[in-house]
Amino acid sequence: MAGKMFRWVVLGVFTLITLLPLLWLVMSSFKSDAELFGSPFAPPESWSFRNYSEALREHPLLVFLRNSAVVAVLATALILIASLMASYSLMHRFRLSRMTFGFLLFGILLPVNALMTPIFFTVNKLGLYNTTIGLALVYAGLFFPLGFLIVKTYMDTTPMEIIEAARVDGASFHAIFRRVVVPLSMPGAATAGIFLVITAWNELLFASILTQDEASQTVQVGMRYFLTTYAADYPLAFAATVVSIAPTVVIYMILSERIVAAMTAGSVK
Amino acid sequence: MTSALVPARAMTAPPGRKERRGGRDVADRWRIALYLLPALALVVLFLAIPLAVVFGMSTTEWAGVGVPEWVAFDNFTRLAEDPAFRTALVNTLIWVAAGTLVHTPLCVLVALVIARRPRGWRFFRTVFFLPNVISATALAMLWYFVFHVSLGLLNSALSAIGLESWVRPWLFDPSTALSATMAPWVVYIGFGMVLLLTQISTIPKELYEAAELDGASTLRQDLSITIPLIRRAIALQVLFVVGYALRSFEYPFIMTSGGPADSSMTLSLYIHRQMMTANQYGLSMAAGVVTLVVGTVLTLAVFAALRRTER
Amino acid sequence: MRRRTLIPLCLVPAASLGLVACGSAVPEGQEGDSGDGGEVTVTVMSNFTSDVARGQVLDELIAKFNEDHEGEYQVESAAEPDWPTLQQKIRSMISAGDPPDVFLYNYNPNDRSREESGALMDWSRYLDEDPEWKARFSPANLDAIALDGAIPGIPGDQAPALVYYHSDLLEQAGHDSFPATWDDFFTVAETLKSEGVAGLAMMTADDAWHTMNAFSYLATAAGGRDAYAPGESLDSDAIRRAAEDTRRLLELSTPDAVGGNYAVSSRNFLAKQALAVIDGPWLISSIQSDVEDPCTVQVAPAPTAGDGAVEPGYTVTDSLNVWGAAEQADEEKTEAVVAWMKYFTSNDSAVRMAVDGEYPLAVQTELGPEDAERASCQMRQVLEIANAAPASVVQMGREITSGAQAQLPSLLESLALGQRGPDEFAAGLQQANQE
Repeated sequence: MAGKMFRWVVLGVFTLITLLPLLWLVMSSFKSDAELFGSPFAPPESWSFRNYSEALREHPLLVFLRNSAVVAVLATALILIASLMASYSLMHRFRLSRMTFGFLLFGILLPVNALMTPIFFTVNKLGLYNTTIGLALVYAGLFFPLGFLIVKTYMDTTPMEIIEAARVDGASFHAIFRRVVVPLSMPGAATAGIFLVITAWNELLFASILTQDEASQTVQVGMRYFLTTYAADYPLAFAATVVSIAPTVVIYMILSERIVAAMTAGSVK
Repeated sequence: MTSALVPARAMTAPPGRKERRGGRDVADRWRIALYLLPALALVVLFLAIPLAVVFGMSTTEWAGVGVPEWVAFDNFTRLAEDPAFRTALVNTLIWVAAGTLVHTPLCVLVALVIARRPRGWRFFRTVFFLPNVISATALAMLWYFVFHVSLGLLNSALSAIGLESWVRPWLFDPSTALSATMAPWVVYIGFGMVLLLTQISTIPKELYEAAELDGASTLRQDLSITIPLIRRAIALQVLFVVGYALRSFEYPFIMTSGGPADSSMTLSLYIHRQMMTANQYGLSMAAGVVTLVVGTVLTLAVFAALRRTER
Repeated sequence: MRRRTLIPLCLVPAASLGLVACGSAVPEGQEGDSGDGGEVTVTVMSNFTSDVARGQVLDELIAKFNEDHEGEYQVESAAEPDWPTLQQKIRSMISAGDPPDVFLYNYNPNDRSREESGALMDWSRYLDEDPEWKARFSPANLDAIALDGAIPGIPGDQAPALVYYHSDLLEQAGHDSFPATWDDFFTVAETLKSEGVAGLAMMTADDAWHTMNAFSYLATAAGGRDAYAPGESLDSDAIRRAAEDTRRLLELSTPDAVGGNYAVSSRNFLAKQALAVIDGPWLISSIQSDVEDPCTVQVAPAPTAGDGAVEPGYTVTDSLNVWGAAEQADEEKTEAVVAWMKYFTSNDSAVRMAVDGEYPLAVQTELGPEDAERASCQMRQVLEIANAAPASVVQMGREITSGAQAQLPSLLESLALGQRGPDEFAAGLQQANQE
């Protein structure tokens, strides 16, 4: 009984911590500046969308959102393909396999901020400055170790017998990868994919350094137009924030069942 | 060392097929290399080469434009003498400690609760993961308001329940600023929870059924079956904690800018500041090298700890 | 100040990657700068985002310029709202050998690395060819920018930091004009504090702009115009006295001053949480839109010590911002850049910037009677005070080394929190400025 109580307390406390600030954000985004500072916790006098229309008018938020999506999806796809291939490759033991593994993974520890200058040079020399593709490539490089670690860890739980059976049946190296390893690694790849999309979506520093105009900037960079301009109008910034997080939240709400179910129930055993 | 976490599995050809093995191996070797190419290209281009440049630049003095001046190890001496850097180093270790000793146990706790599938568990799982789909920039700004001295949720809540004496400028009181900047990260357990749930789901149901028959309590089952079997996922989670603590800078950057008086400074914020504000690229890169060393040592520690539990 | 021997070596690691050319970085022919129909595109990089008044004016000026030069030149604005990020980006682009076509940067006598890069256009030829245009700039500004006989940039703006105050709040405290001495100001601030209103809106994050404005006025009030002139030790009586007074100002300020940034501090002023703020003219557009009765906000020169150490009415200014441009291989593009800068610094443009953009440029600006009519109540006062100023000094935070700039927030916060006394503050600042 005490155990059950404890369980509900845990769930209740974390729900509160998670949802309360977010609800406050949404509520405040409908207020006027004076209301926000006058009575920060009261509901707005009128639920007007003035802040939203103004935020959308001032900067092309929708373009920012599209750029973010393109960059996140492209980077994630690149990382997943590279990770699946590399992990499969490393299932075979060869002379430098351990060293290769270590090499592919060392970046997980890097303080990537420090790489800012050299990466700027690289992107510039590749002629990809101020492009979403350039940013996506950089993300693919920077976040590769994170995705690779998840994919590799998962792929290593693949029962060898299945692969052996496929090989005995005469399946080629490529066919085993395509028909056996990739399908079996999907839950791991899904976890990694979600993690990567989120990480790429959230990145601010490289996005602000590697892009220059509104046509290529991501929503993280675009948000700062509302936060760092002279004399910030907080409710307006809140409205912009809500717009920037709404797409991921909505998609997550719709797909969460499938996403999380794939991750948790996708047991290979 | 790495094999402790992820055992490299040899794919051995079954016996009795020796005659075909030679030709196949050579071809496979090429295929293995081919499959490694995309990953190697990404790592070399965006991690290895920049890292080499960082190491090179850490021994120079450079303002971002012009010709860098070689100063050998002066930057490292200057770091050692800079109180702000020492604070940053200590604070980063506190981030790692909080992530390992507070955040990760909370992740485990919630994962264990959710794994038991209480009523509405899908809802809770969805809610807890929610912050992970929101940008750290937005969350940091949100928590800036949670801790705000006059507007803040926290101070208002404390006043409402009669704890006026606890009211304080959380972000600008040197004794609470660091904890306040870590707080959102520590309490958002969603990602760790999902990581652990993935591993928990691979535990055969029969183990629990057997324990049930033996009359073991839920708590007992969690402690003696689940936790030992998810220790690799826990180690993975701790690795993510180390990585995050070393690279994250949005929370301190947006909530306190490292203040007051550097009390919430972290290594990645220090790197950022030396580069962006002070234009001391060499010093910044030297701090990057130190961060890398710290990260390597901590990772080795995680592997060593995991190996000990596996014995 | 900072010793820097320039060794004629390549950036070793980067050069080994073939990323940076040795010696003076001559920009290579860039990809398709001239679009279809032979139109030359020029990108202007600044922090003039389209949601602030000066950004709107810039956009309008660009539209007009493009219309006048249709099929010939095409100017585009690339605005980055965050000043440090903008400066970082410009540095990176210069060292990559590919500076932005036209860009706004902060002139710093302690760091001429951008001008020395050799990647910037020399304007001296174009200025000499057009003496009338050259005469629009102050010779002192051109001299400051000049380097080895070249003029690597065009003076952009140098905003005076003046006191903006709520005259209605001041009246409530029993005064009709802004105090002329700091002692009087402190008396007023003490009175207001008991009513829950701060004296000056302050901040310590980022460049601590509002606080350092006050600090600079206090330091010069105590030690004269050269209180922190380059070469002077900052471990001085004037700095110690300014530190002590700044600590008091922070104490009499809002509770979120320590750790607050520009947005927090200016918000506090606009919302009448503080009597006054020391800021640049860009604040005016916020005053006009956010204060209920905008013209109750008045502008005044800062107080002095009243002992004649400095002439009353003197001003502290922001650093000189300079328009740099990339050295172009393409003659046509060079012409486009010159044409744009001449247009941007013309009297008409400068008037529009001052009147509609609330952003006076560092060029001769003659307001016609109609313009003066249209100018906001504060802008008229600003121009009056700036014109009458017997002297001006650049704000201290802009004159110290970038290493010391990076330590300002921490030094000010420890001063406010009592972790450091004025003596240790001055010593710490001097040490940081030596590195």
